[in-house]
Amino acid sequence: MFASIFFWMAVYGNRDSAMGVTRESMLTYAIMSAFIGSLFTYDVEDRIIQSVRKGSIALDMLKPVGLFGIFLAEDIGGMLVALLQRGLPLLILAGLFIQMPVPASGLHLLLFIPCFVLSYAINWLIAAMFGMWAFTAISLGPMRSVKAHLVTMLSGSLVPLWFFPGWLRGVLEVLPFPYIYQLPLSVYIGRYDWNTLINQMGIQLAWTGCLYGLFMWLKKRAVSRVMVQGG
Amino acid sequence: MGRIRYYCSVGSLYIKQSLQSTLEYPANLAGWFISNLMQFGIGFAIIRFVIAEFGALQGWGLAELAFLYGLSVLSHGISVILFVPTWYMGNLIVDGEMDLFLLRPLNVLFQFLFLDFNLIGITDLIPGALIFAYGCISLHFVLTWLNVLYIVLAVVGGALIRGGIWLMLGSISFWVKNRASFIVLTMQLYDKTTMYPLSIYPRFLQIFFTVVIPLGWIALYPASGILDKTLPFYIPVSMPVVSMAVGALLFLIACLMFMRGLKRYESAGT
Repeated sequence: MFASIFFWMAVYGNRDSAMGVTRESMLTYAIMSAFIGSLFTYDVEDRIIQSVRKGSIALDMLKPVGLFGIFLAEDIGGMLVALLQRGLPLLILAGLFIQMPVPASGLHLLLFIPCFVLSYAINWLIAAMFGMWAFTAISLGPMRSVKAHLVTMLSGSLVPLWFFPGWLRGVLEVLPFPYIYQLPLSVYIGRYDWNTLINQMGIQLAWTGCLYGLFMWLKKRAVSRVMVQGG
Repeated sequence: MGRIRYYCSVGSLYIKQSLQSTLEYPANLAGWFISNLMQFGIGFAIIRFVIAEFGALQGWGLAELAFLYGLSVLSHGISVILFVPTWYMGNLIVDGEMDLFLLRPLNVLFQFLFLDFNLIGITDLIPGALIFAYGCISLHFVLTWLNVLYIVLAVVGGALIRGGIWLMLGSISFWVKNRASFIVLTMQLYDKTTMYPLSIYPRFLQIFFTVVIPLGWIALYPASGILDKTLPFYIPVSMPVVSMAVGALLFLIACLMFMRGLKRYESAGT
């Protein structure tokens, strides 16, 4: 987190704002990006890969609750722990040494929360679908790091997309990635006017719906094809 | 003399074996190639977008940053090829797998370092070389023999610093006996301190990364030296040479630490 804050401080130099974003908002953006990043502690990918490899997926599937319900519950639990262990200390440190990451207004803060929930859902669904690949592929190897890079770099978690050239931004805004980091963070710092904001949240909701549909479909196919290894 | 020849032949067999086992899975290699090309490609593109909006970063323009970034990725690639066994040293120590090395009539450190000659590092070198070449071309950098020598020294020195730090951290497992993995943390630290100038950080951090943990010597100072940038200190020797010396010294200390740690090695408990 501190690295990216110093980066933005140096980049802004003596300028007060760039692309309509003030220096202070940008720092808040960076702090909050680290904060929500610390809450995205997904285990679902690993969990699926490990249990397919060891064959313990069979035991998980025998339980009288939905397979992915277990994974989701575990991840939400993990997030709550991360909130206490990493998220809050991070905010306190930032508040002490850099600045308090204040939202643009109370209403923005209120909107940030559902926005964050949806971005959590999008990110989780992508991770879960990715993990499901392991049902058939057994080993994912470097594809996991491809996915991780795509999410970190194209979601605006490090550098917001408004610094990207127009054509690239156009392409990216169609993809689900910016709705993971950039949208909730932009809402928090009050970057959008109300119309754009509602619009963007609509797209986010639509993406969540689409990914959920895709997830359900893949789940049905993948679970029927799962190969249980070992004994 | 005969001993050296013997070590060379064993070393080349080790390398051959590693290469064969890597080439056994070409899809894996291709996957890493895509992954690394994307990571560094997008990473550099993002720096480019930011520079396009804000102009030079602490006096470093895009071409110079490409030079720095490329140099950093090149030394990263070399360190990934040579020093991968340090990443899972904790496991080898806790599981008692060092026994195998101790039983063979060869130097333990030698066996350890040659355990895994990681061809996959080449997939880092390619994007690194591309970005570096872009930097050189846009700077109209003339590749005289001296400059080539400087670049080689800088890359090797940088790789030794990276590897030396890994070896030291890994050796800690001899004393504390856990498998703590430090690889993600060090990678992040390396990226954040070598891909753009340290001068964006507060003064005490700059001093820290120059003197205490010499990360500045991996890419920043040698690149500054080659490109004639002003430095916050004065040393009358050219920077890549100093960088190489720092790397060699650090790696030597790491080796000594490994050897000392090995004396405390007591195999697995069960």
